[in-house]
Amino acid sequence: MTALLNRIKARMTIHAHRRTRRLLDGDYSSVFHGHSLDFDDLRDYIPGDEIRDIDWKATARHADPLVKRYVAHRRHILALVVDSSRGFDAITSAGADKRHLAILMAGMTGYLAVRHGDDVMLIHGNAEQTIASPRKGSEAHLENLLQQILAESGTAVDGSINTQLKWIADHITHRMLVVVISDQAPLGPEEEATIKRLRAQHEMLWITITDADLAELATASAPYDVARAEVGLPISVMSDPKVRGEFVAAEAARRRQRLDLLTKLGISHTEVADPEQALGNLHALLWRHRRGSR
Amino acid sequence: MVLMLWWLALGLLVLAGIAVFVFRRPRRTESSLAVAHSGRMTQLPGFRRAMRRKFLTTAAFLGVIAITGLGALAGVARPAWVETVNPEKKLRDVMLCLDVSGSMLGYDADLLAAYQQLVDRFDGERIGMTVFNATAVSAFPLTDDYDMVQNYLEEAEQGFRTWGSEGTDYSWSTSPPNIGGSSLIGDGLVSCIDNFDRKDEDRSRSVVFATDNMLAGEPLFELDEATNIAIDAGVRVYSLSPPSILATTQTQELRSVSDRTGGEQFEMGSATTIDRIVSEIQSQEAENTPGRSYTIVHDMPAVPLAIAVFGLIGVFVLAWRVRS
Repeated sequence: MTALLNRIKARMTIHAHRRTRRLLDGDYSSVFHGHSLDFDDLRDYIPGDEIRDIDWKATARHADPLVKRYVAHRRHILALVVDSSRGFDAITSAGADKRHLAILMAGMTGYLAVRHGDDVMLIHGNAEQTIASPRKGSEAHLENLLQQILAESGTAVDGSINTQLKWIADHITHRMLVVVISDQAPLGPEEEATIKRLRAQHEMLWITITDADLAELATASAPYDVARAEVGLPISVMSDPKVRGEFVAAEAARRRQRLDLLTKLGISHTEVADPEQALGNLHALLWRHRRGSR
Repeated sequence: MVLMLWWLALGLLVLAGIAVFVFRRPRRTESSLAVAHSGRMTQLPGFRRAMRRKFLTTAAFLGVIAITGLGALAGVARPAWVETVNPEKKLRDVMLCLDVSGSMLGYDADLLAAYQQLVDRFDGERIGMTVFNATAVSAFPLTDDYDMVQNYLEEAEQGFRTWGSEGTDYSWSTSPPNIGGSSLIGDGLVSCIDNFDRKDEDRSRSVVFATDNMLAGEPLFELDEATNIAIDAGVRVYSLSPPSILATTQTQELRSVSDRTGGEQFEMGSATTIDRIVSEIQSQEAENTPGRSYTIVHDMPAVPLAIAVFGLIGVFVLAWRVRS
C-alpha cells in the first residue's frame, strides 16, 4: 500500500546525493520564518508524549526516556493543495502525466515534512467539491493522501484551484505551510484576491505543472482535450506557422502575467514539466523562498 | 433515361459507405494525447481563422470527392436511352410478283413504276420481287433495304422501257428455250409463294400478283392448284391486272384467286389503285400481325464519366494543395 511513496522515496535517493538531501532538509526546515527548528533541549518523557518524539540515542545513554522538546512544541502543518480535476488526466509540456507529476511533487514535499516530524494534510478537489484530509505525520498517512489524488483520475469535473484556496480561507485558522500544485489554468482577479488573503495568514509556495505545448505536438499524435474527449484537436491547424506564432506569444503573455502576479504577492513559484526535474525544481523553490522573502 | 446497372452502382455505394465507416479516423486510440486547457489554443483568433479555412478546404475536398464518386457510380450504372421499337410492320412480307410474258411487256414498265410508288409507301415491311414467264426468276429476295429495292425496280423499269438494251432484261432469263410455253401463271404464283422465307415464323405474307392471266403452254400447276397452295401457305394474293374493257374469264379467275386467298383484285391504271393496294395490305396486316416489341439501348456514358474524370483531376489538385 505504500507503492506511491516508495517510488517517490526511491526517486529522491537516486537523484539526490547526500549533500543535496541535507540541503533539501535544511531548505525545508527554514521555510517557516521565525520558527527555528534547531534543537532546543531534551526533557524527561511524560506518558502521553508521542513515541516518535523520543530521542532514542539520548535515551540509550540515559536511564529514562528523553523527548526532543522542540518537536513536541513546534509541530508544523504542511497543507498540500492539489487540483485533482480531470485537467490533470492530461500530459505536461514534456509529455509526462500531469497527475503522476502532481503526486510526485506532493509526495516529495510531504515526505520532507513527514521526515521532519511535521503533519501533512491534503486539500484536493475540483470546481465542484473540495476534500480535506485529517492532519497526520506518518508515511502511511502520506501514502493514503497520494492515493486519494490518484483515485480522482477519470473524474468528469473541471478544475478550479480557487475553490480549494477558498475552502482553506473559510475553514482553517491556524498557520500552515501551503504548497499549491496547480496547472496553467489562468489566474484571474478572483484568484488573486483569494491568494492575497491566504498569503497574509500562511506561508505559500506555488508549483505550476505546465500544460502541453499545443503548437508543438507530434504530428502522429491524436490530441484531444480532456474536457471534450469526443472532439479531436487538429494538429495540422495548430502547427500552422502563423497559428503557432500567435500561440507562443499568447502563452508567453499568460506566463508573464502569472509570474508577475505571484511575485507581486510574494509567493515563490516553480514550473515543473518532467519528473526528472521534480527534485531540482523543488529544491530551487525552497531555496528561493528562503532567500527571497526573509 | 434509365440506369441499366443501377444495382451495381447501389452495391458499390453500399461498399463505399462500409469502407468509409470502417476506415474512418478513430475517435481515440492508445496513441491519443490528452491535453488540458485547449482553450489556450482554440480561443486564438488566428486558430479560428485557420480552422475556418481548413473547414472550407475540407468541405470543398469532400464535395469534389462526392461529385467524383457519384459521377463514377453514375457511369458504372450504365446510363442509357432505351428505345422501344414497335416491330409490327417488320413482320410483314410483300412479294411483288410480275408477269413478264409477251402479252404483258407493254404494261410492265408502268407496273414497275407503280411498284416504285408502292415501295415508297411501305415502311418496315420486307419486299421481294419475283418475275416469271415460262420460268420464274427471283429479282431480289425479301428485304427491307428500300434503297436497293428502288435501284432494282428502276433498273428493271429501264430494262422494259428500252426493250432490254439498258437496265435489267428479265424477258430473256425467264423464257429459256428448253421450256416450252410462256406465261405459265400458276407456276409463277407458286414460285412467288415459294420465295417467302422464314416459313416457321408467324408472319403476314402477301403477293402483289401482276398478270393478265393469258396462259400459253402447259403449266405444272393450274391457277386453281396454285391458289390452294397459297391458301395453305397463308398467303394473300392481291392481283393487279391490266385494264380491259371486257370482263374476261381471265379477270374473273384472278378475282376468284384473290377472293379465295383473302386478297383483292385491282385494275391497273386507275389513279387510286396504289393507294388502295397499300391501305388494303396495311389494314389487313395490322389486324393480323401480333405486336412483339423489342428495345434498343443507346449508352450515354459521356456526361457522368466526364464529371468523374474532371472530379478526379480536382481531387488531385486539392490533395496537392492540402499537402503543400
